[in-house]
Amino acid sequence: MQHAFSTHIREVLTHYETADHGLALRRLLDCAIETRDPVVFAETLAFCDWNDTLGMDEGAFRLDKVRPLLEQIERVGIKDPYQGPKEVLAVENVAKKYAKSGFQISNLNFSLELSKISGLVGENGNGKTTLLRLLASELKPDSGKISYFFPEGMQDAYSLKTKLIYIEQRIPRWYGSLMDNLQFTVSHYHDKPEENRLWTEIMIARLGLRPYRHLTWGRLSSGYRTRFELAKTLLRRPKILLLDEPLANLDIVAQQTILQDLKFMANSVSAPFAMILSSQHIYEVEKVSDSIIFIRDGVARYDAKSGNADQAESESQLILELEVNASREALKAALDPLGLSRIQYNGGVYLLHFSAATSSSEVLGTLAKNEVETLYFRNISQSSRRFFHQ
Amino acid sequence: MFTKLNAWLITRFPLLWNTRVVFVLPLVLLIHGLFYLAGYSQKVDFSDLKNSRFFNAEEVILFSCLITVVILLIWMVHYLRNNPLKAHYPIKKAYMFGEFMLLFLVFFSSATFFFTYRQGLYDQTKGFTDSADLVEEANTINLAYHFIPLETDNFRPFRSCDSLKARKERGQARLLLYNLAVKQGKASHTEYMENEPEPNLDSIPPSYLYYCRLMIHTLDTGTPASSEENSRRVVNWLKTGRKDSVLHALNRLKVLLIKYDIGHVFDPLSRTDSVFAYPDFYVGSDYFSKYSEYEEPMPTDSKQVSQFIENDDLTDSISMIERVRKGFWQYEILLIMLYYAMGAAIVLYSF
Repeated sequence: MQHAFSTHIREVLTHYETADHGLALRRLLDCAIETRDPVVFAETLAFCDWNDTLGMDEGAFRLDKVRPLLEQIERVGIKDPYQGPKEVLAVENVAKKYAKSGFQISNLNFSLELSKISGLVGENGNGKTTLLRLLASELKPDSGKISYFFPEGMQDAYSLKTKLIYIEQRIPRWYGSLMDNLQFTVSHYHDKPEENRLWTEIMIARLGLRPYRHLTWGRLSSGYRTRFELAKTLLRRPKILLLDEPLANLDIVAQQTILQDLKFMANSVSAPFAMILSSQHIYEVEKVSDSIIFIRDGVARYDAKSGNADQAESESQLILELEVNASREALKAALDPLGLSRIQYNGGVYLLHFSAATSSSEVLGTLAKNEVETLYFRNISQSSRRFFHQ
Repeated sequence: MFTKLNAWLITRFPLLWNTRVVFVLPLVLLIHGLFYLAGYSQKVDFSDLKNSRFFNAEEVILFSCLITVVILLIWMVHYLRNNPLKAHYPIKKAYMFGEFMLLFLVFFSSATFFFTYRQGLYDQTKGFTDSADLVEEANTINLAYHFIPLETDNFRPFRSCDSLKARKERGQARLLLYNLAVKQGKASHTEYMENEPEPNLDSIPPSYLYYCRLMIHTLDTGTPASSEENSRRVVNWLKTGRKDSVLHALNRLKVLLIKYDIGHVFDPLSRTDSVFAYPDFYVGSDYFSKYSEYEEPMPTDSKQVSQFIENDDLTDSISMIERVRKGFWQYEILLIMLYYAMGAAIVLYSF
C-alpha cells in the first residue's frame, strides 16, 4: 500500500518536472487528502496559496517548494487504508414498469465494486434515469433484488442514503456562500471542528473552486455549480455515487478534467467509492469507465469491459465511424477489397463494418491511397457507440 | 465579528448555525425588552383602570402580531436554506430533538411580544396601585351607596337586612300555598298569580333605612365590612341625625370618583340634604342614574338635580387593581400560545 502511495507521489513530482502543473496540483491534493492529516492539509493549502500567487506565470514555479511538501506527505503516509469488502452493489433480475406509459426496464443484472466506475449510456427516454432512481431507492423495483454491501452495515433507508448519493441532472439550488454550505456539510461528517475548515478548503482546492469559494449560487456558472455539488458529495465520503448527466453543463475541457478527477478520487486508498455515471458523452465516459451499461427501450446491454455476453460480438468485427467528402459508391469501391460487410449512412457519418481480420490502419491506408479525404475517423469496435447504430 | 461568529458556529454548533437562533433569539429578546419598556413607560394612573381594554390594547396586539410575522418570515427564509435531514446527512436523534425545541422556542418567543408589553404595563400599574387600601375603599363605596338610590326597589323594607329571614320564610309560605292551591285544583297557576295578595311590606315607601346591599362583596386582598354591619351603622347615623357622618361618607366617595376618574354628576351636600328631606328617611323622587349617556345633567341650580355615577366603572377599577396584584398571567392564553408554538414547530419541522 505504502509502495503504491510512494509511486503516486513520484508521479506528482514527474508531472511537475514535465510542467503539467494543473494535473500535478490535482494529484498532489489527492495525495494530501489520503493522509487525512491536518498538518499536511495546512501545509498543502499554504502551498496552494503560494501557487495562486504565480497566476499564469508557470515559469516562476519552483520545484524546491513542492519537494518538501511531497516528502512530508510521504512521511505521514495513508491513514486508515480501506480494507473492507470490495463489492458494494448487486443488481439481480430487476424490472420496473410504469403503469401509465407502459414503459419498462427489465432484466437488469450487474454488480459494482469500490473504485470502479460504470458508465450508463443510451438515448434519451430509454430508462437511464429510471435505473439510477431504482439504485438510489427512489423507485421500488417490481421484481428482482438490489443489494447493498456496506462495511458499517445498513440499518434503514435513511442510513442507506447517507452512503449512497444520487446527484440529479438538475442540481438543486443552494443558498449562502459556497464555503458556508460545504462547511455545514463537513460539520455532519467530521467530529473535530478545528479540522472542518481544512477539509473544506482542501476539497475546494481539489475541485478548482478556490477563486469562487465565497460566491453564491447566483454568481456561479452551471459548470462550477456541478463542481460544488461534487465537492459536497465527496466530503460526505460516499460508498456509491450515482451521477445523472453530470457533464451536461460542462465544457469539453471541464468534462475531461472532472471525469479524470472522479476516476482518481474513486480510486482513493482510504475512501474508495463505486460510481455509476449516466451521460450522452459516450467517448468521454468510456475513457474513465470500467464497464458500460447501454440501455435501449429499457433493455440493458453490457459492454465488453464488464465481461458479459456482448464481448464476443464486438471482437468478431471491426466497426468504424467515418466522415469523408466522397460518395457512398466511391467509398464502397475503395473499401470493398478489405472485406467491407456493411455500410450505413446517417446523413453525417458512415458506419462501416469489416471482419475482425481487418485493421483500422489498413482502412486508413486504403483511404489515403484512393485519395479519399478523411474528415473524421473513429474505431468504435470496442465502444458502446456501436449499439446506437443497431 | 459577524463572519467570525458565523465561522465558529458552523464548525462547532451546526445546529445553532442552521436554525439561526443565535441571531433570531437575541433579536427577539431585544424586541421583548423594547415591548416591556413600552409598557412600563406608559403614563398611567388610577383613571385608566376603569377601562377594561387597558391591558388589552388592540393596536399593540396588532403591532406585535405584525412584528411576529415579519421576524418569522425573515427567519424562515434563512432557516429553510439547509435541511440536513432532506440531504440525508447522518444526524443523531439528539440533533433532531434539539432542532425541534429550537423551532418551538423561536415560535413561542416571537409570539409573546404583547405579553411582555402587558407585563411592563402591569409592573408600572402595580407600582402606583400598591398604596391603595382596597378594603377601606370598598367599605367607603359600600357605605356611601346606602344614600344613592340607583334602584328604589333596593330601599324597600323587604330588602332590609333585618327582614332577610322574614323574607325567606314568607317566600317558603307562599310557595307552599301556591303548591297546595294548584295541586288540589283549586286554582290554575295564572289565577293564583293574579289573585295573590300584595305583601304588606311592598306597600311601604322605600326608605334609606332599609338598604342592605354591597356594591363590592368580596376582595381577594381582605374582607370588607358585611352588609349587616354597614346597615346598622347607617341606621344609627340616620336615627341619631348624624348628617355630618352621611356627608363625610359621601365626600369620601366623591374623592374616590375623582381618583378613578369615574364619570359622575354628584354633589354630596345636596345628596345629604335629600336623605334627610323626607319623614322616615323615605327616598325622594330625584332621579339618580348609573349611566351618563342617557341623561344630560340638569342645571345645577335646579331643585331636582339629575345625578349619575358610572358605578360599574368604579367597581371595575377596584377589581382591576386586584387583578394587577394577583399577577396578570392568564394561563389559558399561555397554554394557547404553547399549543400554537408546538403546532407551528411541528408543521415547519415536517416541511
